[in-house]
Amino acid sequence: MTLIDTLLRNRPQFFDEVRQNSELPEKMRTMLAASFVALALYGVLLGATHSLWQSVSSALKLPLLFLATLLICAPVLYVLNSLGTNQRLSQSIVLVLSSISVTAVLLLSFAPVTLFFILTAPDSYQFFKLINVFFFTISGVMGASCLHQGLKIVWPGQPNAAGATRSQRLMFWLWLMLYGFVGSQVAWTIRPFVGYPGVPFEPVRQFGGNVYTNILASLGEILGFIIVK
Amino acid sequence: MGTFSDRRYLQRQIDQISGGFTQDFAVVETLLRDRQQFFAQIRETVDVPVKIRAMLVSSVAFLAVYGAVLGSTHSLLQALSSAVKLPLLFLTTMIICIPTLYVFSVLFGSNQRLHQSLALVLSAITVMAVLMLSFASITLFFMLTTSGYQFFKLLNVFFFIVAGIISMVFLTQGMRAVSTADGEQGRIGRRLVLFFWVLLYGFVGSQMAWTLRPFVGYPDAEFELIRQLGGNFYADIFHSIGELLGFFIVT
Repeated sequence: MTLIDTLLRNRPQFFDEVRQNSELPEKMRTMLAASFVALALYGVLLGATHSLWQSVSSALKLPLLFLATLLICAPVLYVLNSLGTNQRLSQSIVLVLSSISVTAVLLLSFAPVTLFFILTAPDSYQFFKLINVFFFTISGVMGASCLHQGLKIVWPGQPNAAGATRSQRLMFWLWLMLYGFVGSQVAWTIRPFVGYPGVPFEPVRQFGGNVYTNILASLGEILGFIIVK
Repeated sequence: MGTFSDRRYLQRQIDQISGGFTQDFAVVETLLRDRQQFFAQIRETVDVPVKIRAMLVSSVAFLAVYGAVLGSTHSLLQALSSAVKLPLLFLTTMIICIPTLYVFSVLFGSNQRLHQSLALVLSAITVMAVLMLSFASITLFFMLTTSGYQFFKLLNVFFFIVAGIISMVFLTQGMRAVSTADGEQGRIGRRLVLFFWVLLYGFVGSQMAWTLRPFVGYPDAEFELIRQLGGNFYADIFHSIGELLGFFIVT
């Protein structure tokens, strides 16, 4: 808890420690545990509109979403890092984890509001989905801006070797986009999180598909270019 | 003799309780008259729990009085129920929304503790409650001299808006006064957080009020503790707008 408190209250100090490689494994473990717990709690709320089973499944799936995506994207991060100069993978992972933790804690701070709407407006699925999209967006943007702050401290641009650090940061941003890209698909694969009211509980929705082709297909149909069968 | 000492004991109890109330109201007076000092004390965490208690007691009392006035157009039962519901509305909304304010402020470099945030928000609610109490005599006057339900409702909406805006300004001042100890970094961020939080408070508060309604009570309707037709304030509004514009039909 103290570590998360430092992360929230005193980020410069936290990232300074990351830069000096102090206690990285311990930091990793704490943030992993904290974000897992926070995301699981929020997952329970997400599924609570549907059924108990949906709650349990969302409690597992929400942490899985963030952490599995990290796992999937870690090799690329490693390769990008070795292309840079003397970066350490653990530093990068701590950076990403810190941003996930911030997102998770912020989401948890919205939990009372979400719970309140579950209790007072139980039958409005679309509304519930939309406010959650909103909460996730805010928390995610805050997490990303925290990451941005961390990057500037951990890998500051040096005047003599400016090229190297700038390319490192650029690579990191590229990787972050990849993370978002993969994350959307992971979320699509393990949906539902909220669960449509009339439909019986399903751990993973059976019809496959792909979030991007789905969006493109819908756009195409709307614009009348193509008809997807 | 027994009854005498009993009575004296009772008297002492009453004195103690009323003394407590007097103290609580004294704290509120400091809040109104000398808010800079009040905020400075919150910043230096002087007697924060005492202040929180005092503000809780007085805002509940004031809002209950106004709630009773609100409901008294309808019936005695409605007056009693509104007297409970009006304080409940403000304080439950506060409890629901305070974690968001706290965590986001901390993220933007605030050094506040949770009870400091609580005291600040509570002070804004107390100011609102005092203002509502000062409007109560006007409300009462209109209640006695006119009989239009719609007019009465609109008048109250107006009073709530005025009191709400003033208390929001108050909250902004308080936040600024208390956060002078914090770093320069993230100052604009914290102001934005407060702005959005006030929106969130209004958002949750509207839904809460919708859930707890009626407060005034429609004249011809029977007394009801909570109106049974559920629904969601916003879904209802979106629904109406959507149908109005003819874009989509929400089912």
